[in-house]
Amino acid sequence: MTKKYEIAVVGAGPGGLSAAARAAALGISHVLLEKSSAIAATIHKYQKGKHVMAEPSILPLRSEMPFAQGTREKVLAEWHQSLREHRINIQLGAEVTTIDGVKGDFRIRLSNEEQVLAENVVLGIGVQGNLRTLGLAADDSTFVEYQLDDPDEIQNEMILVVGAGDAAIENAIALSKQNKVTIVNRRDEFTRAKEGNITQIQDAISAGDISCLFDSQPIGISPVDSGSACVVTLSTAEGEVALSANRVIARLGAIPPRGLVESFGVTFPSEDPSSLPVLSTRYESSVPGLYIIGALAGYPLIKQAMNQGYEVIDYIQGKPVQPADHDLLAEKFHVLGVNNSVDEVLAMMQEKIRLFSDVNPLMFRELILDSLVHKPNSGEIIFRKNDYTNSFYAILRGEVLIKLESGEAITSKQGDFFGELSLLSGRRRSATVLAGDNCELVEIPRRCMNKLLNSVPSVKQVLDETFVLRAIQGRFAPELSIAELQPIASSALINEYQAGEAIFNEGDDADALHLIRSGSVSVLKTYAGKELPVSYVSAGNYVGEMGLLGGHKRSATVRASVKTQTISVNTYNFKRLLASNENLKTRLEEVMQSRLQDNLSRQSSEEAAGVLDFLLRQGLGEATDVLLINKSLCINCDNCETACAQTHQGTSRLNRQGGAIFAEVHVPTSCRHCEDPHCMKDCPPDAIQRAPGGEVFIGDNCIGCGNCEQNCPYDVIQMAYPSTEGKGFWRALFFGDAVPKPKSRTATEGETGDTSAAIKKAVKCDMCKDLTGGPACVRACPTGAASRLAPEAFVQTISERYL
Amino acid sequence: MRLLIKTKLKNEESFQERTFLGALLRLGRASDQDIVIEDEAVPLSCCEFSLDAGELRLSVLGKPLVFLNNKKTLGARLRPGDKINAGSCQVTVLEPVDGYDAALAVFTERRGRKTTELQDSLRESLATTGVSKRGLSWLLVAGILLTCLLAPLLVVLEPELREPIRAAVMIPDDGVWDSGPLHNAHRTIGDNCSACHETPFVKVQNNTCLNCHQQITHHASMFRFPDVGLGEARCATCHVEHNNPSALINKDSRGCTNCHGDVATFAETKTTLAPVSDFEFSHPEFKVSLQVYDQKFAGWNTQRVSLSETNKQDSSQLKFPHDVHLNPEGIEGRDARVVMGCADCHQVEMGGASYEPVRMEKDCSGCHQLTFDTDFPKRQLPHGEANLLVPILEEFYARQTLVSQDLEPGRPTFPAQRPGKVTRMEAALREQALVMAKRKARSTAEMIFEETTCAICHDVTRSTTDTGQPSWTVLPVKLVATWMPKSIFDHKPHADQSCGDCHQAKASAVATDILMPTLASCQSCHGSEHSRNKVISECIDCHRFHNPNQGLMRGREFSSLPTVLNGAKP
Amino acid sequence: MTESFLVHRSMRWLRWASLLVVLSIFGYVAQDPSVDPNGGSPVGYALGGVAAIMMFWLIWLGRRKRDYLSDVGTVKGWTSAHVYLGVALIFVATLHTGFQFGANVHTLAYILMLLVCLSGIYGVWAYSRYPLRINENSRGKMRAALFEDLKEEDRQIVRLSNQLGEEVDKVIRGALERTEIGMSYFDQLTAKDRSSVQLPDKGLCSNRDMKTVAEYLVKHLQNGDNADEAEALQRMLTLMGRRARLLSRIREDVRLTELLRIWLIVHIPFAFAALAAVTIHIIAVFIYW
Repeated sequence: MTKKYEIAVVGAGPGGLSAAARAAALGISHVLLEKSSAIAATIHKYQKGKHVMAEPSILPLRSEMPFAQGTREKVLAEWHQSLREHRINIQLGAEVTTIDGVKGDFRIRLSNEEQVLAENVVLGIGVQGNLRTLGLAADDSTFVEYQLDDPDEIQNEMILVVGAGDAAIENAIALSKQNKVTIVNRRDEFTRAKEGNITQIQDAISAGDISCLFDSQPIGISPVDSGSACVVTLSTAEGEVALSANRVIARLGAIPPRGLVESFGVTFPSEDPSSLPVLSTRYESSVPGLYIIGALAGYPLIKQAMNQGYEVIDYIQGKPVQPADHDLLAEKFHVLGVNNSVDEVLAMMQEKIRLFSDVNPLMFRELILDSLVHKPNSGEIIFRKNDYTNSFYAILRGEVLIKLESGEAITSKQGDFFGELSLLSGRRRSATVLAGDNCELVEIPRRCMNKLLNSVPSVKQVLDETFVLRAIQGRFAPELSIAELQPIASSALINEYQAGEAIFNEGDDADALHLIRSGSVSVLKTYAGKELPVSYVSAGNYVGEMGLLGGHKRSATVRASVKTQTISVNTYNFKRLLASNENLKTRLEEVMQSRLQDNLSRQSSEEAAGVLDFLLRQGLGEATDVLLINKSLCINCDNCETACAQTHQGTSRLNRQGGAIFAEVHVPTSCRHCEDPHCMKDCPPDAIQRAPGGEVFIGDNCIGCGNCEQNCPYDVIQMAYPSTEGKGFWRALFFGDAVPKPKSRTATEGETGDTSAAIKKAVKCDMCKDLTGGPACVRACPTGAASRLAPEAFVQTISERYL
Repeated sequence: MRLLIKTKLKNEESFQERTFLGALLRLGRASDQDIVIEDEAVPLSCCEFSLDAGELRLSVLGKPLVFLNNKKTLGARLRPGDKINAGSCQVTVLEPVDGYDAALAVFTERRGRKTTELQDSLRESLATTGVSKRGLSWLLVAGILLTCLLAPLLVVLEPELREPIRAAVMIPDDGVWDSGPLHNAHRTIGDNCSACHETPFVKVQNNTCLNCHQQITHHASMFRFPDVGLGEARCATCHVEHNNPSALINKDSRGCTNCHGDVATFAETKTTLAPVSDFEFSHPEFKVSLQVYDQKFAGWNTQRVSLSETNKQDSSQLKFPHDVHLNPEGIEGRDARVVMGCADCHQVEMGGASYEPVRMEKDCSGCHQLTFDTDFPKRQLPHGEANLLVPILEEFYARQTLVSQDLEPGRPTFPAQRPGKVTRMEAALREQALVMAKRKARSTAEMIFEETTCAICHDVTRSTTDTGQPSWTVLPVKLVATWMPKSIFDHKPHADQSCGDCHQAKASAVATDILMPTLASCQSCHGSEHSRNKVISECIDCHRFHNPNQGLMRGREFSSLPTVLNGAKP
Repeated sequence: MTESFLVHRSMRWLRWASLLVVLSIFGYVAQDPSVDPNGGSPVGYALGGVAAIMMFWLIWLGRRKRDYLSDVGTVKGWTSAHVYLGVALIFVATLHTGFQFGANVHTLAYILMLLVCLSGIYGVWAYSRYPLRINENSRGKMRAALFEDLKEEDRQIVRLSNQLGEEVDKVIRGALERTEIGMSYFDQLTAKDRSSVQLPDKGLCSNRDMKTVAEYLVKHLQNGDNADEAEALQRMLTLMGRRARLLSRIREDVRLTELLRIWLIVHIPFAFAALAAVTIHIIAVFIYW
């Protein structure tokens, strides 16, 4: 009979290791199952010498295993040693395929047909999923790699890239510059990849830069005697072929873990791929006895996972242990001056703030850990109109005053929330908010709130409804009460448009007014058979009122210039609004008149329209501040880039050679400080912030994950080593080379010598928010070619220039 | 020719064989070559193999580094076993194979870049030609420092090197610092800068000037004005050198008027000079230096009298009516009436600047003869010896009465004398003759002194001696030699003018009139530097800085004196 | 869209510079006429002092330009002042000389300064002329993008060339590889095309504007009788024509870009030379006071 363990830990990542170590320390019978041949596979696969961060630094470490930031090698060595010291019962190469049974009697089946019995199961398998391997005996040989760190490090080699996805294509193209590359595709064409990548690989193949084997698959890899190369046997349509190669790079994708976890019986709250499994405060999933920790539980950081590993064992043992974040939370709640325990306060918060009542307590705890609790004095300003902050506030007690444009103030009471407009639109604050009497607030950062919105549909629904209501109230009918507006608001629709999609077309029947919730739109008129933009409308404003007020046909086409959400109010409801409010009509007519004039004057210049069209196509529709270069003044001196590099640790955050040009306007590759920054979307340490002045910047706590670099559609973020200072000016003057040339993107990688101490971090334009004189690039331009403008300003200047 | 070519890449297992047919086997990086070497170091066309009389021959194109058996080659005949290296490629000549003219083995170390990167071949800036802005800057700066600073500095600082460097034609010396030519007067100094510029960073010292200009005099009395050492002013303040066009003397009046404009403050009580800041508008009236006879001391004093004074009088003690002499109808001369002009008495001095003093013997005696006896018209009395006149007359008449035959009629007759016998007179007769002569002499003297000859021009006083004899004294006369000694006036440039334009002699009836022109008279033509229609007149046009009366400058440095003489001064 | 350094702040520095010139001329004319105007007169010293300070300040632009943290004005403002005061310097320094010249370091300093100022004036002219021409020539593409186009063109040519006979393929590939943009700096400056091609019968010949290779292809086209090959050759000719235009555009871009900055090779070294000469001039004047 197979031995039954008290605890089986699946996944020897930081969380799993920590849990097994705790179990071992407590003398509990346990087993640690790891599918790969090494512990901490993700860290193991890091580039050599990569720096491992220990974020968040305020959180204490609670684990039997040591962990401090350091190089990958140091961290792994410590864990290996700890593994031996604690006599952890670990099984490597044990891939779990199924788990069934109930608490006290779980049956874990492995891929090698073995079974493990356990009373409790702790899942710490992370979110990476399983990388697909070649499935050959030589899978783990030194010739086979499953990722590519730096293609420029490899030169003059014969390389076989296996796979047909984006990763494989990108690797193959990057490597082909300096190597002889053969790409191996299982099928007879490339279909799985992005269109751009497919075009590129096809071009490269037809140009002979890359050779390709279609309908082929490697079936064997054997080293040759010299040792630096191997011979790969492939099955192709023409039969078996042997190729010599210096390395094989397999990019076959990964199998995401959700399906596996769901097969264990664990439920997820939504279909959203980013949603997390339902867990109790003690990390127990919907299957009793099955615990989930680490990234899969929504804790992507190493230290959190290790803490959970420790705590989960104690929970299983029924020990009354407080989570590691207890002290931090207690500290946060100190301001409230209550004597209740942390758990009671958290429960009280969920009870009082209706919005959060449906949230999983564990998730709520995590949310509050990242949030701030305020107790402002009466009359204190919480935020001002036009501030660029975008955190979300919930009222725990007391009330706040929201000052409207008209000067009146709306009171918001306990359980209510505010700040959702900026949260959702990414725009500046639309009103000033003052604290009322006995006010207690919870401030939730935008990132945490977005995470919550994605995983808890009810929160999203409540927020959306409130947003619509408030938007309509704020824009059209401040005089009306919420109750009066409710029927109109509930009939309003939230529409989402992709960039370039038409919201309505010229000549359509006017059926609704659109309030732009996020993104921005361009107003276009057909002119001599060509659609030319006449205006640009940003979030918080509305379009379509002309059709409703004036005629019944749309006078212009409105297209989303970026991904845009609008709230549409249909004709019937709009008429009701008008009827209920006498001032509204006059106000709308004034707006309409000025727009008509604008449109008239602007459409008379095709050139202005052309420039506007170009700028909108460059993504300036979602920009708040953009660097433009006047090509008639630019002398290619690169002083802007040098200035940027010199004021920002040696790496230029703008690429003057990049970007597009139209007429005399050049939009170089440089941050546009988007309204709703793409880069902010997925930043694990929340290092990307928006400064009060609107500057989107990356803080020092960047962990170098590269998510933002990939998320930015404008290619303005790059990963770079912080560089040491150049020579002094005078030395440079006399002997040269003092002012280092701004490094190109490829050169930054691997060029800066001491890679063991530093890690590459994301760098981007911060608009020189810490310099007194403003953006260095603009100040350093000797001819006045460079300027930074807000979209409204450049629309204005373009009109002035061409009219 | 028919060649067997075996090629192999580093990574490849075995040689690939092919046959080449053609006259010329080309090796290079370009695709159009027969053997393509993918290596950036190999030129597009590198070398060629050909068959020459049955032997394989290598010729290298251009100047790539091609080595034959490790020696650089430009072409050679090849034998089996020869190794040719070009870049990463090695060609070995193999032993001939049957059916082929020759066999080559081509081995390439590594693969080069796939495509030619045109972009990389751009010479992006001038820097690639070896000319950099920094390099050029250094070159220019170093060149200029060497030629224009170091070499001249050696001349200045190393006396031993001075002459050799100056003598060398090719080496620049301190001549490059010369900012302009020297004045003609100083040309004898030549290129020897240190002759005047003795110490670096110290202005040219006055003593250096005085080494040559030994006789130059001071401006003002060193005793009365010990601190009018002119302070900051140096010789070079007024004597400016190295200018082009050269003007050695700075004529700018401001150098003078800086002090003289407010001379009262400057010199306190030590001077009676009037302030002057400008000739046209603030110049005081001229003063003339008159000679006044002091009875008490029987001498002449100089008296400064402004021409603006109304009762000014010349006191030469001479009687001279200019109007009579200059009467256009003439004046009674010795023989006839003559019309006189100024120049009859006032003769221009050599050089023409001024006039010789008027002298009685030279200028008056033509008409004014000192005869005393119409019977003896040729006899004249001496001029200026009034005391001797009476004795001379007595002697003259005594001789007449005692000896001469031609005594006047009515004289006492003496006994006739016998020939050969000394004429002897009786005592009484002698006495009588002498009395007669004395009487005659006295009457003549009385006439001369009091009515004719002397009295025409001179004032004569008559007195009686103790013996009761009358005696006459002629008052002393002194004509002014230099009316305005403080200035220099050159008549020559004014020669075109008539004398009467400035000197109103025709209207002068008495000698006490002062005929010097006034300030206004000069100002009718001369003005200040700002004048539009007048001759611009600077101070030094009339006044000399170096005052001949003030002793030599040499050996007495301006600034060193006051402390010696005037130690009490703060 | 943006304000050029020449009109910075409504030409504030032009106004200051004009004032300076007017004051200098006035001072020069008004000085004491009894002395010949020269550098050693009071006005001369004043002009010289001003000119020397201006020279040091003008050269300081090089420092300010690289002092990226400084917020003493903007570099644009400095450039504007640099340009206008630099032109004013010609007047001030010329008046300082009192028109006295000679074979000495003083006149050398003046001539060097004049060279610097005149090259700077050319620079201003170039800056106002070439950026637009560069932009027009490249049709709004950066150099890198032009090269990307060229690479794409080459790729197409190679692909098509594979379909032609081996000899033609060799010639075409060779022609691509033997394309030159700038063999030497001076070729670049004159946009000279030193490309060559190796023809089987003629050996290496010049391939200016891809003409020789085009002629070769035309000859082939005339001699051939294969319809497919003829069509391919014709397409190849079109591609070659496009490539030649693209190349000439790149050459022109290189040429214009270089013309835009070539004057700096005079301006900057001579500025330092002038600075050295002026320093010596001042030292010399005070050594031999």
